[in-house]
Amino acid sequence: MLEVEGCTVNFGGIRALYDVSVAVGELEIVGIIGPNGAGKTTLFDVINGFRKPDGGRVRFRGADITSLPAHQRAAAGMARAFQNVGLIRGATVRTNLLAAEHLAARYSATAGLLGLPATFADERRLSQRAETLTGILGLSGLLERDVDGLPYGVLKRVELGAVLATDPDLILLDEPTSGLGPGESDTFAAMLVELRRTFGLTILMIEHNVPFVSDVCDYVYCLNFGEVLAEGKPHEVRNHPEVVRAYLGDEVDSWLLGAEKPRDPLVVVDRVQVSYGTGHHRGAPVLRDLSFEVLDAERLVVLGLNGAGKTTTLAMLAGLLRPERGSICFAGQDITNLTAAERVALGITLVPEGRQVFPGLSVDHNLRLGAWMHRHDSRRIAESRERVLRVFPQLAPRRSQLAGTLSGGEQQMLAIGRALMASPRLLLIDEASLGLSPAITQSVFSMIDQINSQGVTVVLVEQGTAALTHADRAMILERGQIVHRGTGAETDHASLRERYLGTPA
Amino acid sequence: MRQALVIGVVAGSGYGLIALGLVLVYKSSGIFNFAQGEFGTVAVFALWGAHSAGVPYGVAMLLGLGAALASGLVTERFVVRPLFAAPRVTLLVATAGVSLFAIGAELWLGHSQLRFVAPALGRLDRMSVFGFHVSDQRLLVIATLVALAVAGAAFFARTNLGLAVLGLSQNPLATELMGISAERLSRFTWGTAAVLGGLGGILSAPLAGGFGPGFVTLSSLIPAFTAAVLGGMNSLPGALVGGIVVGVAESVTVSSPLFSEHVPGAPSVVVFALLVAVLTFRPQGLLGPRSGLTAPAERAR
Amino acid sequence: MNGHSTVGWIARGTAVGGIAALVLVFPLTRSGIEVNIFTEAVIYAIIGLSLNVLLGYAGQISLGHQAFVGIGAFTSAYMTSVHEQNFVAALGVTMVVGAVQALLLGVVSLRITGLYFALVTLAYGRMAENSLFNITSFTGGSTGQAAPKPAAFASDYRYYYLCLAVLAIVLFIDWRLTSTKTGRALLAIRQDPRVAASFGASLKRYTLIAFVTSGVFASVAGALLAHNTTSVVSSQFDFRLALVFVIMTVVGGLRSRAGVVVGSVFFALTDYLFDRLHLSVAINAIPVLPDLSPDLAPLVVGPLLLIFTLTRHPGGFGEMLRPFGRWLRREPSPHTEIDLRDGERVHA
Repeated sequence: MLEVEGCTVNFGGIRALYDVSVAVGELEIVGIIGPNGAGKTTLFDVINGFRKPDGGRVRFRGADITSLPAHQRAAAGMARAFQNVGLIRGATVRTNLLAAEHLAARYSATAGLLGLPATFADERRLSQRAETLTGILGLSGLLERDVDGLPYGVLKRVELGAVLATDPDLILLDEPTSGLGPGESDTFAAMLVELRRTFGLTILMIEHNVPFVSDVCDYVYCLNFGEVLAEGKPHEVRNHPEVVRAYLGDEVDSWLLGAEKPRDPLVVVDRVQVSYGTGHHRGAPVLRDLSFEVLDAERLVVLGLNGAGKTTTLAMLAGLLRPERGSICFAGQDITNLTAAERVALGITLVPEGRQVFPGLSVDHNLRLGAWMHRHDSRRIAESRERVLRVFPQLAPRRSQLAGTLSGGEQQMLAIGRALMASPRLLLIDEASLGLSPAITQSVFSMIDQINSQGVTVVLVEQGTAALTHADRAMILERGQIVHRGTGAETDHASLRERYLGTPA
Repeated sequence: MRQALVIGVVAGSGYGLIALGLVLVYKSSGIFNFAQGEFGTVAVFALWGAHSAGVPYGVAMLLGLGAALASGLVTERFVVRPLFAAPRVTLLVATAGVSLFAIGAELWLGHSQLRFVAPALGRLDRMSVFGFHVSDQRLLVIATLVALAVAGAAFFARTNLGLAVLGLSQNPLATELMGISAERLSRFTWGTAAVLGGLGGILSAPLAGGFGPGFVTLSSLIPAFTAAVLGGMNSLPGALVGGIVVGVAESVTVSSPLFSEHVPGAPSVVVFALLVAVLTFRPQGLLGPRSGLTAPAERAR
Repeated sequence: MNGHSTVGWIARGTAVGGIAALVLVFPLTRSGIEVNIFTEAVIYAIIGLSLNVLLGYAGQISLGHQAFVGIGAFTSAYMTSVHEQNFVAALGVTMVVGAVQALLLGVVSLRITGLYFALVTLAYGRMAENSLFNITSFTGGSTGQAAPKPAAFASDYRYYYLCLAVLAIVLFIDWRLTSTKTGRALLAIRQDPRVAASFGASLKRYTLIAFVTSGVFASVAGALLAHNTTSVVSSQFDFRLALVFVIMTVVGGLRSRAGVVVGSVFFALTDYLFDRLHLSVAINAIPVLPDLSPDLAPLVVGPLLLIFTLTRHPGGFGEMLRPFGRWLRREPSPHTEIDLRDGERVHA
């Protein structure tokens, strides 16, 4: 039904996809897995028509659709659900479903405007069709509700309704189980199989929940760094050594043991709950009843799959997000209601996901802005700059280079260096290894060790094991809760593998 | 024809001065500030009022700039700040409303008659270029424009505040994480842009042969925006060049008999054509980088 | 209030009757000159609805809408006085001209988007005012063009009812627009173009449909405006008018038909009301402020209302009228609670 051949996508010098080929047979359920940043959503964008590939072709039912605009692919029978729920905000469920039935309307736009009698009858027919659909999905009675106020799980079902309303043959689902609890995932799996039978659907999905994928999919592709790493039946793929390494990082034999002397807690997080959005746009809680400590001068690694709440945890510590419940203490002081700027003044700095350098400013200027808090103390700025360049010597010759033109690894170093300019006591780093080769990743982590040896407490968020050799303690997050904590040695490869891929070693 | 060039350069410098303020606001927050013209008109009214009441010209100029600064800060406080996270289009409409209010207030308090304000510098025939007398005032406009463009470029490249403004436009998240207050930057930006607008109005009004309510907006806002767009909307020196280009284009059109006889309002047509042409074929402006628009980061919504 | 009680019915009937009386009967009691003002208000309502299609439904910002209206005004005046066509034929030509002009601008909007498009519409409006509307053969230059009323509706009163009828037709088409696939496509395109594409709605096609509809409504309104005052001149269509149109649509409440109509009528009648309610006298009484003539009132009040609406009350008049509309139609107010059992049927 669907064939992607040799697809390649580059943007701005980054190779998002390289020679990717995927085939989906009629009525199959196929899964695409892979770590964060592997190119999965980009692949969907190509299949769907939102992005034109730089090389390769897409065939749908034998016809070459590589240049076909997105809305015409929908007419051809391809429908897509989005990561952040592809529905029209501020409209009712009914309006959304009717909008999704756009192609099913039998009248022309002009006839609609003029109010010809046939249009009224057709509108009634579309309404009834929408009602039938809500019945099948168990959403009856919600038709007049605004999409905005609905709980996340219901929203995903409404989106599925909209997808089905376009009368598709192939549906593309982007992370359908994200935000769902374990019971909900099982129900969803059963529903998918049932829908496939009822509507004669072919399903292609991107997922992080590997156990779910193993249950439901007939065939699986694993992507990493924009290339197909492995393909085959689910149990073959998840035991494939390359796949394991892509998700977890390398098997490590020896771990750095944590320092022997006992440490005091620097940060105490107590029963915190964080949700995104405010008022009636509030979604499901991302962090629930979360409690943990960060000890002074330690290196703590927070692990977890995409969507587990790692970034949210750091954002909460840094002050970008306020918890609805619970409290945070730093060095004995309650900082729960302090703004990000106030926390920087106290010595908490965050290096966010994706580096976030100032691309149009030079390396030097980036560093200078990092020292904003002490901007009037030029001696201190000079000292900090010296320190940063000693930890990251690669930056020294590039001081006047625009940050946007640096390589990924250099940008990461710059982002950390910039955070250091504020002389932090607590340094939070979100996925430093993302998009970096293992060698550079290790080198960045060694530099972080150096920083830590000078007394700076470090919290690293990572998906794989790359940081474990540089950690004193580790914590695994799943769906907003801590499911494991221990020293670096206690958090070994096998247990992580079981958590992520759902397989015993 | 050569006279037309000279006239064009002079008129274009006036546009350039206003465009500087437009670029400053856009560079820092992605807003198209439709009130920029009225910051100028308000300054001119204040200048005229003070000077007519006997205040020495220099002091009157300062009062004019003060009036502009006040309007800029009031706009920032009551219009821009509440709509900080709103789509840029909403802010565009809001600043357009501010300009309409200013025009209405000027009509109300000042009535619609044409008034004249004396130039800062008196000598009318300082230079003669291609037979056209360039007065001291005109030279002052050009000199101020150049000085400000240079100072502006230096400000952004060298000072902490300038860097912070640029940083905010490139990456609001990172800026927040550095502990930089977006609010204070916003006040600073709007105040400065308003003063630039005021300066533009005060220096150009004596050359216009008369001013009334809405003076700067009606005469120069659209050409100034076109100038800023020609400069890529992101570059202060670009605004300078853009201003000259627009000024020259207009005056050449006016002086050519083909256009001015057969096409009424030819300058507006030329400006419109220029705007559409640049946005279609070279949206990054004449001096912009090769690849596409460089827009400040959109606020997360 | 229980919708089905007799008291409820009587109350609703009275409300509807009152509005009908105000709109249909009240003007008959006033002089011809005042009726002209009311007619202008009705025409402004049509203009507001036309701008609402662009701004509210399609999310396109147009700061040159006075040009859309002006083209209609001049075309109709030209056809009736220079070419001596009858009113209906002139109206037909006007609609075509309005559609074509809007279509051209629509094509530009596909290429130049967002803020930059707003700038282009502003420049276009200025060009229309300074250049297009000054072509002497077409528009009569600075003295303007004559636009006599059609013979069948020559009296001010009859003309008023004609304009009301046109408003009713425009409201009908607008209603059908929002109730059919076009409206939903525009909604999707405005909120999330990716979702719209995945529903199969072509951004190009529906954006152009919105522009053409807006253009036709606006040019018809322009024609009606010209014949209302029996002459039209280019200086009427300046930048200030463009802003007033945007303000009245936004303050009226984007995407709310009732709101836009009320907002537009309010702005058209501001100077009239100001005068009638002797508000100018009240302001003139304040010692420090100079006299405020009624025709400046919209310029001062308008922007203040705009800022207030944008910052505090984005739904405008429309949002304020919504509870009233719900009461009239006996609709229940929306539920606030939901009973959800995981995996089972969901009930509101």
